[in-house]
Amino acid sequence: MPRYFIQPKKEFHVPVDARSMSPDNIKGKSIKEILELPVWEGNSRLRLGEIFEVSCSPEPEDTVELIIDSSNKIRYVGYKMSEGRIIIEGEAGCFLGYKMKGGMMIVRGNADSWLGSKMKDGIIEVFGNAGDHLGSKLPGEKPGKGMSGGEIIVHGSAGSYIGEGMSGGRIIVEGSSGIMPGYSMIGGSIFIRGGCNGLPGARMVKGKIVIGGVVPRILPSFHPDSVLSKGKVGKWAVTGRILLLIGDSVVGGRGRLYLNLDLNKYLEELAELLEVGGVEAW
Amino acid sequence: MKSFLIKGGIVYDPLNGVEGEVIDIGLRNGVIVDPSSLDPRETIVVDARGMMVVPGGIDVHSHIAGPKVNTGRVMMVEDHYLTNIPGKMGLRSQTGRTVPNVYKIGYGYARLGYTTVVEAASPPLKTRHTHEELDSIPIIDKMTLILMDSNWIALDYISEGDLKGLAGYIAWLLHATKGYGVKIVDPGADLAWLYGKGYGIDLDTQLPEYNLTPREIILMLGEASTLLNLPHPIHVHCNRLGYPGNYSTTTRTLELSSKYSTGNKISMHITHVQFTGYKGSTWATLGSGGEEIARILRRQRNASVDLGQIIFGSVTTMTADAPFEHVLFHISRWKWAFADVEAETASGIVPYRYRRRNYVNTVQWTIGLEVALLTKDPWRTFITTDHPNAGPFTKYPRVIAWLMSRRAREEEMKKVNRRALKKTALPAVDEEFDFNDIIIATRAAPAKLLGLEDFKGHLGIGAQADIAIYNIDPGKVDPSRDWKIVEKALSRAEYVFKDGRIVVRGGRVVEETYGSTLYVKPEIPEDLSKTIVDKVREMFPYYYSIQYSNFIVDLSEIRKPREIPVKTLL
Amino acid sequence: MTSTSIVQEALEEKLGERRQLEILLVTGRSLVQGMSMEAEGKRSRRYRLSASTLSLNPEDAQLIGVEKNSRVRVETEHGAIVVNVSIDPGLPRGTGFIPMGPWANAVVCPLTDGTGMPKYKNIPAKVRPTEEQVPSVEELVSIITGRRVDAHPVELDLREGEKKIIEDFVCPFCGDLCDFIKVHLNGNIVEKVVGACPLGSSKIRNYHRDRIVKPYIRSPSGLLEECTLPKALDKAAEILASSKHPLIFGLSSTVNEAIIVGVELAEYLGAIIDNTTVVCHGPTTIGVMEAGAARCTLGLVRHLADLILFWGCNPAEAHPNHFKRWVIEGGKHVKGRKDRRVIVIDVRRTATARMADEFIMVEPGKDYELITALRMAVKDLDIEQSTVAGVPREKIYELADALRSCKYGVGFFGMGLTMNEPRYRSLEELIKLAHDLNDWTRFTVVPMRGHYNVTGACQVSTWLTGYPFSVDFMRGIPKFIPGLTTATDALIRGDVDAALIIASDPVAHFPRKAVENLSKIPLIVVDPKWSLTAMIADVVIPSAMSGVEAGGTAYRMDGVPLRVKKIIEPPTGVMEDHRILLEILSRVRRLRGE
Repeated sequence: MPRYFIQPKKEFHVPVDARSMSPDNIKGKSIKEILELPVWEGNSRLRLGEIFEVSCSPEPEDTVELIIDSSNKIRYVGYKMSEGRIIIEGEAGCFLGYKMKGGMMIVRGNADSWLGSKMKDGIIEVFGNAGDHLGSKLPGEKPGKGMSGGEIIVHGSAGSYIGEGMSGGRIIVEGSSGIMPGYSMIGGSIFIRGGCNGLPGARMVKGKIVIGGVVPRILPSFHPDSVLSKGKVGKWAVTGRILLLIGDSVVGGRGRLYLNLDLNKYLEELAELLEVGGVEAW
Repeated sequence: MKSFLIKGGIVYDPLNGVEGEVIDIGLRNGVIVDPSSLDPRETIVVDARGMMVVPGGIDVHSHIAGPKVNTGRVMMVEDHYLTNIPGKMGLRSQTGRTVPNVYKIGYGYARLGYTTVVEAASPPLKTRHTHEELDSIPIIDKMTLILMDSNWIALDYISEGDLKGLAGYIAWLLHATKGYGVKIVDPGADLAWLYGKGYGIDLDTQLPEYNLTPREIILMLGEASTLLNLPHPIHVHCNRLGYPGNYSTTTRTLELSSKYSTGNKISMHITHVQFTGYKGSTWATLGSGGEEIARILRRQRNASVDLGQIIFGSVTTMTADAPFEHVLFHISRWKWAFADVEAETASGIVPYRYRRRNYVNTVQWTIGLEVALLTKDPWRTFITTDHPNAGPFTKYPRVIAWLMSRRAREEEMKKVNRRALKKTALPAVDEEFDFNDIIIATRAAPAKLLGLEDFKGHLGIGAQADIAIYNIDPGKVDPSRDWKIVEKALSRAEYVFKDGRIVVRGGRVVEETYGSTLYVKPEIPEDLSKTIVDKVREMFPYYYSIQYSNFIVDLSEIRKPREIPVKTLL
Repeated sequence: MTSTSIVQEALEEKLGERRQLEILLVTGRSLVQGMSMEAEGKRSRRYRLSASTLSLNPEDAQLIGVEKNSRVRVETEHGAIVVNVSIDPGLPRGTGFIPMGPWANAVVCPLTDGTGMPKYKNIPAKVRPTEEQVPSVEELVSIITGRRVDAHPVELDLREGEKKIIEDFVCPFCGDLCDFIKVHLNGNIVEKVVGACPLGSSKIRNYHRDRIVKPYIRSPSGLLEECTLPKALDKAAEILASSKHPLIFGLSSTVNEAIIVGVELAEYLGAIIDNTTVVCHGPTTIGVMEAGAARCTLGLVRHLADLILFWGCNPAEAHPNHFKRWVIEGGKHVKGRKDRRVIVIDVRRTATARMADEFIMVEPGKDYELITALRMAVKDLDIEQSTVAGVPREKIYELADALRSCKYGVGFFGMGLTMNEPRYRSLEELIKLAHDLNDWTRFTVVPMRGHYNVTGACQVSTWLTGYPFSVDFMRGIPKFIPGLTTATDALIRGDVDAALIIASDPVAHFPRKAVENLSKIPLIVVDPKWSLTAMIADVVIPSAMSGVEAGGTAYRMDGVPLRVKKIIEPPTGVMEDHRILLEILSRVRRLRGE
């Protein structure tokens, strides 16, 4: 399978809608055909070749691979992709991997908001930071219309409302996140190694959220269930005591929220209501 | 303006007794004229051979504009994400599924061959909004009905038994709001709703605040309407909408129509009768009351109904029946928007989904069809889906197919809940409408119901040149068997003329025009008018939060107002 | 341990050493800011004095040794500004207040968290006394925009003439849309305004001041040069027709007829069209998308409300006639103020709080937790924490009971909720609380809309496009994505390449980063007055003042539609917004070859 290199011909000052850039659309096409694919530069509907250079390397890859030299103006890359690989050199724009069904994406720099929104399957890995609404549903949609499968890994930090309305899949953030991760989630899991800006799991019904760092505010509708002495996820372990809370009771939720008791002393008031429990591995 | 000659079409014009005859139709200056009077040098010939030529469709009940429709659009935002059609060649972009934007509504109706739509319910205090929004809907002629059953000033007159005063007030209100008719929704429920009540009230439930029952409200509004000789009878959404067993409320309400009617005119129109046609005492024992309603309707020749036919799929329910929407919110438990309007009414909006496998939804689906097919009087059973409550208006051709073809119904019945069908009469119903029946139910009869049969709903000389041409030959197609062909043809008109201009061609909108807004002007005696105005002026600062002079909608605010003068019996 | 007491500890530590105060900064409307904005204009001394002032709690001020009229330097993660000090005993310790305006916006947080609403409230800030001068508005704007601030304000010729009294005039200032105003005219002089509040009165009486009466185009020298109207319209059309992603913004202070054309223009151009909702009740509107609504018209407040809640809003300063019209006045079932229980929930004891029966102080930024606790209490769930958001548990139970057991409750809410960190989530919850309460009694929540026709702008946008604000027609179809199509984010990201600002002032009201980017693109302004945005624009087109010199439809905060009136002729050669937009649209069409 060939490997394609896509490079912008100039610096963009308006958003570029590049939803045609996905392995599904490019697979089996000649360079000439790829250059004819539609893109939007602001309100101008153009051919891909008008604003991008495309070249191809003969080295065989196991799957169709696109390497895109991107800026955060280029949006919707990997829209509905179901196979293949996309590597973003530089920054990824919004809606990267929107409705992704399979395959894999790597972002070397930062990714903007709505990354992996409504993702069904596949893997996205971001080496930099990610924006808001990662793996989320769109405004007004029922909870459950967010990410339903697949995995998103962010090595840096992420924004607010990540995993909103998700029903499955996994989100891993090595840094910290903004507020309300896991808002109205009905399944799936979110792991944040650092802290978050507060109110994790608001209105969650089911699913799991684990936060290793400082969480300045939680909701009164989360009720302490047990204290665990340590846990491990992937290659990192969360040391110290972990408080498991169940919520969000306002919606009758039975989601599980794991918080670091040692770093969030104010939770002692709640933990005091319970006895220390055993080890749990996720 | 160009003249046209529609040549060789197969014409259905029930108001003029034409049933499938080949007649040439001439139009000039927006009006239908004698074809022989056309100047051939200035006339464009439209070849309509092998096609059905009918008056433009008239929808007597649809929620297309106004505060609750607009709130519905905001609340159902996700409906707009995947349903966009970009604007091309001078048209505007269309969006929305259950609550489309104004362009999707106007173009959508036009493509179906409809040229007149009645906005079903507007709160007087916000009717200026309804008109502004209606003005943005392209192509169709429109008018709005005005909510009155929980109106404090009206209720003051009703509780005093002052019939003349009530009639005078209605005349004033219709003219102040530039409305078309009297709308009654679950009478008294919105009054009770202010006090946390109003759930499932029946005709003889005592209402709070006033010593009145819904029965008294309906009777007095009906009488006043008769006195005013309004072109459209009172338009009633029955009490107990949505409650099992409510069909009896509907039949008892139907029977009220003869109590104040005069002559042969229809004195009461009951809307979306499906929603108030349930037998049984609980959801689990729900059955169809369609047969009973049809029986009573056949007898009550002063009444008419429109179906509110269910279409399986997603809808957004929106109605002035605020307490009912609260109940529906409890059932669906997702989103709910309600708005109370001072001294007048209230509304509720709740998204819902009708599912084929669902027992209750299946029963609901049969009722509208049963009422139409068993009443056997297309002059008094109108085809609607109470858009967007029971289904989108774009599915009218599907409803027509079900009415014309037993086979079409059977195909649907294969997919629905079988247990539910046992509680309905539909599987045994053989009746099928023919083309003439359909045109009666969607053109001739609505024109009469609205009192507009002088110039709408027919193709005689002098009629408004609102014409639909469908690419279907009624002589060659058997709708009973080939209902799919009928549905397809009626979904995209071959030509639609609006005021003598071609607006649709080959199922596509080709010109964006704007229709008229019709309103009534009942002429009441001056002394009565003065008494009413004095009284309203006096009550206004107390009841309302705006000034009397700012309440009145001026003609200059409406793009193309068209006055329908009314000679009252006062 | 609350965040405020953490701040106190830090203060005590630093005392005497560095004289630095750490506070949470809140920005918003104030009466004087509003009045001066309308009367003397934004370059006036009164505006500067009001909008470039930081109010502090007296003890906090003492801690760093400042007093009224001292100057301080306020620094946040996003910028720094020098302002004057004023003392407000109503402020809790650890909180500071700067009225909305360019000084505040030099330091507010531009990040919207994907909601369109920057963080205008509860921003951690460091305050230190300074000898530096407070910049004038011109200095500040030129530093931020890199453009020369140029204005040619004209005070219209006032001539006596026919005397008349306009009855039932509709005031074009705020969302209360008072329609009982009497305006006494003598020729084109407004001699008297009866019934309007100071804000509305100020606008009406001063319609003639600080006016733009001629069109201008910015010359290469950097200054505005007067030109003919056709030339300005042509230039505006050229800019818009050649741009790839223009922004049309504002529209909340004009009438529906103009907004309808604005949407058509945006669709034709493939532009973003947005109104001031985005920095006002945009979060509320997104809350409606998520949860629905629970509303009533204002008359019912007067008739039925035996419990009125003001949450995060201060009508005493932003909607001065509101309290009198709906709370003090009686109606059908409630005779008047005495028969109502008025509760204010806010971070500081505002002027409105002083008129209430009860004031509940909520910790800044923690309203979401409080609404959650209230929902729990209404559902009879146990609250484990002894206090939530600074409010004791017992008080929460008591409040929930009061809300459940009233006959008809109405909650008014404003920027205190929309500008909080959770943004629209707080509104979603407030609406759901109202829904929960309707299982017990009748309860509604009504947003205190700011500009007099922001509600109309949203309604028009909705029926034409399906979305109430932030609509992007880039691909020829309407799209709404908060964080992307919102005007604030579009500017902050640098996603738009031209802007048409009509009837609003983003240079005064948007965060610094947005204003910086706005200055980098061709900018067209249509306004009756010299807004700060007009002063740095590339093309300035004068417009008639809607509501005084031009009539049309406007919608009150509760959706009631009214007609604002034309009572005075606009200056010669000055057209109304609606016509200006039509002219621009037809020229754009011509340029695109139609």
